[in-house]
Amino acid sequence: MGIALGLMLAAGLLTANAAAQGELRFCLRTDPKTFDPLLAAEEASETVRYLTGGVLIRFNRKTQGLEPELADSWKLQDGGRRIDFLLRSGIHFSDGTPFDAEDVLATFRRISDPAFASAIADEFRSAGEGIKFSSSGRYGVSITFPQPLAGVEFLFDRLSFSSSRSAQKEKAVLGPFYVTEYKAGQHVLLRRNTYYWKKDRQSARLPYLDSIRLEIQSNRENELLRYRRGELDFIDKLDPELFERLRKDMPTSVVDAGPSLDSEFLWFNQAASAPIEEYKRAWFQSQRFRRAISAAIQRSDMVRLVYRGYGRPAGGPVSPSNHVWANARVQPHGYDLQEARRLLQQDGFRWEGETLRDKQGNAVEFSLITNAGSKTRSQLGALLQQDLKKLGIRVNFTPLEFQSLIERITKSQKYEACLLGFTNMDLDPNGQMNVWMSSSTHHAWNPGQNTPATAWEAEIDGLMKTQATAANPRARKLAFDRVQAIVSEQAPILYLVHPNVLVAVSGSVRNAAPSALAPHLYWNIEHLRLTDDRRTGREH
Amino acid sequence: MIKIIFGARGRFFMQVAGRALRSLLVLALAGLAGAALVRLAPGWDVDEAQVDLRLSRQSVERIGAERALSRNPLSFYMKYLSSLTRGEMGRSEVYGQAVAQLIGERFSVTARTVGAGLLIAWCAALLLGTAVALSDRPAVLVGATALTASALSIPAGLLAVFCLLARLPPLAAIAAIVFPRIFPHVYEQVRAGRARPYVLFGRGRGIPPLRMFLWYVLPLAAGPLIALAGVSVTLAFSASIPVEALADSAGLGQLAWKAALGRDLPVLVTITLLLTAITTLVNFWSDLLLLCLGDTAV
Amino acid sequence: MRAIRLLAIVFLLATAAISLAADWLAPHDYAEQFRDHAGEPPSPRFPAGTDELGRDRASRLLHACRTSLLLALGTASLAISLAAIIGGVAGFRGGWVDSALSSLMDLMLSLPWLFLLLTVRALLPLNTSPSASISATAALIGLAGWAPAARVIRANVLSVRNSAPLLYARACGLRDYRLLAVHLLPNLKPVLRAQFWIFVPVFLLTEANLGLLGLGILEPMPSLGSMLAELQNYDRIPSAPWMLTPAFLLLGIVTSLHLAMAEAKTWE
Repeated sequence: MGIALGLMLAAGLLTANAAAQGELRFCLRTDPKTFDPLLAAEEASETVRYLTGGVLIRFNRKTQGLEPELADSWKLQDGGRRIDFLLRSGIHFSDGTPFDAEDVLATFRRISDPAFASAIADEFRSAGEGIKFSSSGRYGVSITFPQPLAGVEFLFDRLSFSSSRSAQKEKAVLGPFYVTEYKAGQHVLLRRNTYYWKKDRQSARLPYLDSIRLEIQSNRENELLRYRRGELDFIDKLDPELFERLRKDMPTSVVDAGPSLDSEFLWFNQAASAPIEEYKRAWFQSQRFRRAISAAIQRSDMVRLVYRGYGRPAGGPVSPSNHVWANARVQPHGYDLQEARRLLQQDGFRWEGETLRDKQGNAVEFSLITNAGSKTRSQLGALLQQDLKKLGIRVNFTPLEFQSLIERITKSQKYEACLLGFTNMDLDPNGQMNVWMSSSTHHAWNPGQNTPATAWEAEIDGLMKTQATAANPRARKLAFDRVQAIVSEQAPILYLVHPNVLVAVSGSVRNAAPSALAPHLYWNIEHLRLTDDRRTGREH
Repeated sequence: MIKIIFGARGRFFMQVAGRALRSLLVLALAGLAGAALVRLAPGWDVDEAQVDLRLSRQSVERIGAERALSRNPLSFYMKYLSSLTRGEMGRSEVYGQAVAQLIGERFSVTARTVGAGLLIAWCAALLLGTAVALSDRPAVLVGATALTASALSIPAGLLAVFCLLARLPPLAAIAAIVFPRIFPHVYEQVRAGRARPYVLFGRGRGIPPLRMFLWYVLPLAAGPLIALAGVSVTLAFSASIPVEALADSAGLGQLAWKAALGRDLPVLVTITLLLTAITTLVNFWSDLLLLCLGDTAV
Repeated sequence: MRAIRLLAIVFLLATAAISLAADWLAPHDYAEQFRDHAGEPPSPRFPAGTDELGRDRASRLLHACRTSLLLALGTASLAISLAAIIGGVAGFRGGWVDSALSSLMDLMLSLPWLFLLLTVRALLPLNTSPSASISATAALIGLAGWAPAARVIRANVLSVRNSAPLLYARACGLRDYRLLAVHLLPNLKPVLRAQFWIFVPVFLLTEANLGLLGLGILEPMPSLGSMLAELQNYDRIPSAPWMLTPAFLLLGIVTSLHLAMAEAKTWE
């Protein structure tokens, strides 16, 4: 009787302790499309993957260094063609099944299947088909690529493993949390993984939090309102305007983490197959025309008016916050209307009254599409209209809903210019391979070329291949610096702004260290905890 | 002939049967039209994932090919209808879940919001409309007009945001959207009824106003108001799309909006069929009531 | 109370006249950005302040009013005409004509028209002038929006058609067109008027809702919808109450429309 009572008391204390860990709440902007870690691509699925998935190597968002996670150690061999791992022993999935080399091999079996369409699989297959993998003992794994794959270790930060034996399949995870409930359009509930292997310095099991509630909330104003009411603990990627408003009311809860890796840009459609007028294609294919447009854009006004000062004028594809890969010599094109006029005159353009005309007398006018519903892009478009009006160019700015936009830029090519942004999750230039290779479908201005249309595109192709396979980091850096210089000179994409990472963190969250690199707020999720008053407040 | 064989009651039932058949036809056509609309929309066969810069050319093409499988709307619709008879509605392309499950989870949310919103709106419109029409005071009319005009002047989306700000549920936004659209009708019908010569004659003869209202004014107003009731249900369901989308309420409206943006064919066709079924059912009942009240054609 | 009606009519006429003369009365070009004066409060130079890009709110409001009024009136006229014809014919003819037209109404009421608007908006050529885009939007909203009114009109026609005076007139041998012109149409006036009042603000708001979703009238052309969209940032209203100007203007227009178009005898 006494023992039973003692056990009940102990159980009660344990339950109370577990409950006291608290629940962290923040928002997903959309429903996750998948819980399969290998198929996670868009932000919501990627968030769930990060919070639930276990990886072999972790990229520390603070130190920007690589740290062993599920792998005890790793070694690059054969000039970067092979990577050998020694896995940690005694690790278990969230359902209790053990983790070993067989799980890693099972994941690579899926990845190496050419019919498997997945972003992370494509990144691993970018060195060519025919990835080989083998195990040595229960915890040794060796992965061999057809060619050296530069920066391959960074890819393992995004590769989460599923159990090859568990009946729960991808629901059995190795990360600090696992998915317990998903209500479409409402929330995803994550619970603490009691089998999680990490411990803190005091040998207490991580994570500290008991659960995470990811509220699905697409309206930013609602998110802000709920944050102010104390119903949410985080807001990731605040709009500059909302950030300003929150800064006035709750100055201690907002953080400007500096320039992001992301960029806003526009490009002209130069594709030979695009159903646009020939004379317009000729303008867009002219380097002078593109540089003239770039010189007429007041990027500093964009930063000041649209981003309220929380951003930097952009000069190229690499943000200044990417200290390793940014080419310091590449600077944003300055605002110079005289230079713009000179370049246009050199190209045979002339002014008739206030209208710019080309050699054949066609008035210079083009449409600019973007995705509807983005206030910042709508404002950027309006600023571009006025900037280019000074050159006598009329811009028909047309926001389209996203699906129509994708159809135009990826399929029908029925557009003239497009204003979009690039969310960059990867510091390494390999993440931009598909942007710059002329054969890629993501080569925005002229996709899917059989042979490079211009000499400078051919040069970029060569440089990107070099940086992707060179074992020497300096050779990689030189090659990618040159790519940035060519892009700045030829201006196939006009980079406008690198927005800052603006976030809000409630004072009741401890150990939060917002980073400019994604995921900005919860990269150290296992170490986050809630303050005592907050936890008791929640329980009441 | 029918009239001879079945008499008046027989004709009534034939009319009801005809109306039911018409509703079924409308239902079938609406589903097909919904499928055709999605097929005509630009971007119906592309996936958001195709702009993921990490994907190779082969993967992009493979994803595109998968989306384009349901190329012919008619064949898709036929397959859909045949699976519907087995209780299956396909899988959502946006959510990756069974459509039946998605609809099941969300229908009750929207039904509660729309039902309560309609109830509040109709009670308010009937009370206020009748009171204003009976009061004969211009100041009351001006006040009521200003109130309805104010409600009409705020976009549904903003109403949803304001309701959220005031911690009111989305049903308040639905009520605020429906009320100003039915109030003028209630007022007009009652006012017009009171202005009819025989009502004026009755009033002149000293028949009590309440009796005049209940026996002579209300029956005349009932027909158009019953028709309006049907329309208001459709209006409330339509309003639930922006309201739920902006208030982030997980109902059918939000589902419809996201499905429209994502060109989610199985979800859109199911929602179209469901909304058509509700519309035709409500209109069927309102027509039936009209028929019972003495208006012949249904 | 006639004074109020008169006041409403004067307000509407003044608003219409001022907005039609926007090109001459507006202190600045509605698209011109005074970037060093962004987000300023009202001043002698900018009577209603400036927006986030430094555009003069007063000039934009004048042009927005013109755009939205023309769009709403045009759309409402189109929709009410279609509703009157289709609903009237359905109710008056009865039989299979009524069945077919009622089915059409049910179908129109059931389809996801917001989706159609998205579709057609996406199919429009990209290099269209703002006025062409406004006309296309108006035509589309009108063609899609007549069904609710048609059902109400049909019910009214049914009600009047079977009323004693009409039955008597028919028994006296009056022809259909005379029945329509002399007896039916005058009886439909209140309902047509009510529907028109409802349609005008509804279509003003349809445009506003499209604006809220970022699919309204194209930049830099202003509309009441795009200006109302600014109210989504409701936090800013206390510090910048002049943001409410378009909302008050819309309120004034809608209230005046209701008051001005109410039948004269209402006031007696």
